[in-house]
Amino acid sequence: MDAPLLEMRRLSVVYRTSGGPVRAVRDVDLTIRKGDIVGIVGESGSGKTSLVSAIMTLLPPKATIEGQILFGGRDLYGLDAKQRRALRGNGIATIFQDPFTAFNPVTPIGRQLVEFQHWRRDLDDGARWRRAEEMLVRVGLGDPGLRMHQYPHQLSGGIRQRIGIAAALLTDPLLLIADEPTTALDATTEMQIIELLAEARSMVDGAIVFVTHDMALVGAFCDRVAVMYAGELVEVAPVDPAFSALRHPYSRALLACDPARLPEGCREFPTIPGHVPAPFARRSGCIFEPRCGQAAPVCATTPPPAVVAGDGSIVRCHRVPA
Amino acid sequence: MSLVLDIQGLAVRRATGGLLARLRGTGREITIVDGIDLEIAAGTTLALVGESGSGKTTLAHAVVGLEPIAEGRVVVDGLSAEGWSQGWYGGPWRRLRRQIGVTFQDAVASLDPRMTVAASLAAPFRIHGLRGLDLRAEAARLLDQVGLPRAFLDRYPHQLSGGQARRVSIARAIALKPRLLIADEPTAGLDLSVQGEVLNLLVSLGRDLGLACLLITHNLPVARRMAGRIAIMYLGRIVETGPAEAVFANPRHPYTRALVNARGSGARALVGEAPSLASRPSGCEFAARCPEAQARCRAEAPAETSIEAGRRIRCHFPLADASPSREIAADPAAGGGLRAAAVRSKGANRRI
Repeated sequence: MDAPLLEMRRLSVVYRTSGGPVRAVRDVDLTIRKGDIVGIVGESGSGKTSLVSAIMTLLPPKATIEGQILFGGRDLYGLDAKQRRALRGNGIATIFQDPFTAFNPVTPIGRQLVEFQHWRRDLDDGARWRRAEEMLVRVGLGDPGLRMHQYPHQLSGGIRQRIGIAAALLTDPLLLIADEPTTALDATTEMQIIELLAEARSMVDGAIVFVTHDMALVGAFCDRVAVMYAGELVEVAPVDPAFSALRHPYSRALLACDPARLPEGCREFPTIPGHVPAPFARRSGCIFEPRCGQAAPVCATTPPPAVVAGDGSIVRCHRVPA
Repeated sequence: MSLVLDIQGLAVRRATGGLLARLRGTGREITIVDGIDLEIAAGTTLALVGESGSGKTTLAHAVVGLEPIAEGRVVVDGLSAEGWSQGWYGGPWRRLRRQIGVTFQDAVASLDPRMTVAASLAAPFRIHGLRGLDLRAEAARLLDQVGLPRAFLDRYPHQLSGGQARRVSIARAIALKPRLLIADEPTAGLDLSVQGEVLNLLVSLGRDLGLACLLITHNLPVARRMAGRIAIMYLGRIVETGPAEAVFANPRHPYTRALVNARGSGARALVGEAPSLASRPSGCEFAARCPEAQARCRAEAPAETSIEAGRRIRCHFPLADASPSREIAADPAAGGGLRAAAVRSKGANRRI
């Protein structure tokens, strides 16, 4: 088996605030290999944004990390700023949630796409331009010559997101991070981008991390799902259309809340009662215990261990039989 | 059953171009919504579904007088403000608006940041000049109705979570016991585990108060569960309307089919994007993206026709009744939707 492409070891992200330190991500262990397509799912406050920011080494200055992130065996936070920057342009690429702010508004698209390839020392600007045009065709834009000369504000959200995907693919990333890439788009545009991302899988010679709050999208093209709740990774499981491998009570409850999954004739919308605990709060037991319908006395007192199965699945729950 | 909302032939237009262009007479008018006919009876919910820019919110704003009505009439519970300018603060608009509760898309922004929850909930009573009431008691009663503890009376909007702000805005909307509730994207920006609470609240309030509800959403599964009737909008026109179950089970307009299938299996993703309002096509608005389009569609805009009882459609070539036979069931990758995308992406052509 290949060495892992990305390995998080007891990773925590801590923000210094006036109210004391806030641990937005706590003790996450996750291994991603070449060829993996992993969906990271969580609601607001789950820490998924902090987690991917840590992978991208784009955390704000008031944040520190504990534990390690190894990318190709190298500790990301042992690198100096210059080495990290080189990695962001080359090894790790990101498709951002908001295609409206991902581009420089005062520079034509073509020049930005050429600049993204600055690390390709073997190519001159003419070759970089041609490569960018070819990539625009590959992401389904029929008139690349026109797009290259346009400014971001002249493009619709769907076209901008296609260009965002082209920009990420131009760097031949080993790790492609797609951070809620369709959240800002309409249903029919979302469909187009999902189809494009599904095709893009064959263009990435590495791994894809797909961050979303939408289980249906994970079901569409991820192989594994990692479910986060209140800063903790509660479950990692293989994906099938029915998500039959999910066993953690939070994962099951979240899945049941999707209105598209309600049984026929059902008029009552399921909810998860209670609230996500405040990030300051430290619990002695399981983080989900106050909202869990299956909680036992042990859940309130002892943090559940991470049970790792043979296929790499992880579940953190006292109530799930090993 | 009595009609609470009755819209006939509604159009909203807006002038474009600068002052100079307008003075020269070269300014243009763009049509934002056009030819809208809608009826909602007491105790029923109609879901208005469409993508951004389709005119859903503009239509709702026209009902309460936040957008000028260019054509047509809006009657709410027998009252109409026809002929009165929206800026007219007293008179017919005020009587009309008292019958309508509105919750806006961005619940936090719709609450005044400098007013406590109690003050926000008292505002409708003050605006409509209802004297002799204990406004704090009324506000407390409203919080009970939407399932929030009374401790929230003295909170400010920034101290509320998204779901709590949504509940407060619903409480404010029902303060004067309106006949019509307009809920504009009530789940926008809410987490999945909280969405259900807000939707269940809307369902129970609608039932208990006998409200007619206009639900604006782009979420089809939500529309299907919440509404008895559904209207699909595209570029300012209603392209299909009918009982929700029938429209979902058997969409007759090609655009409806594309929306319904977007998250299941069925047609491939639509090509292209909605045309701009400023360059509205002369024929059917959907023709450029429609897999069924023919020459007539590009030349002539389809009129709204009734295809069966309670069901209207704007299409020259409606899809056949019970149309799922179009799909090739044996090969899931030949279809579309998320599931087919999954099949294709996990197929053999992966380089990984």
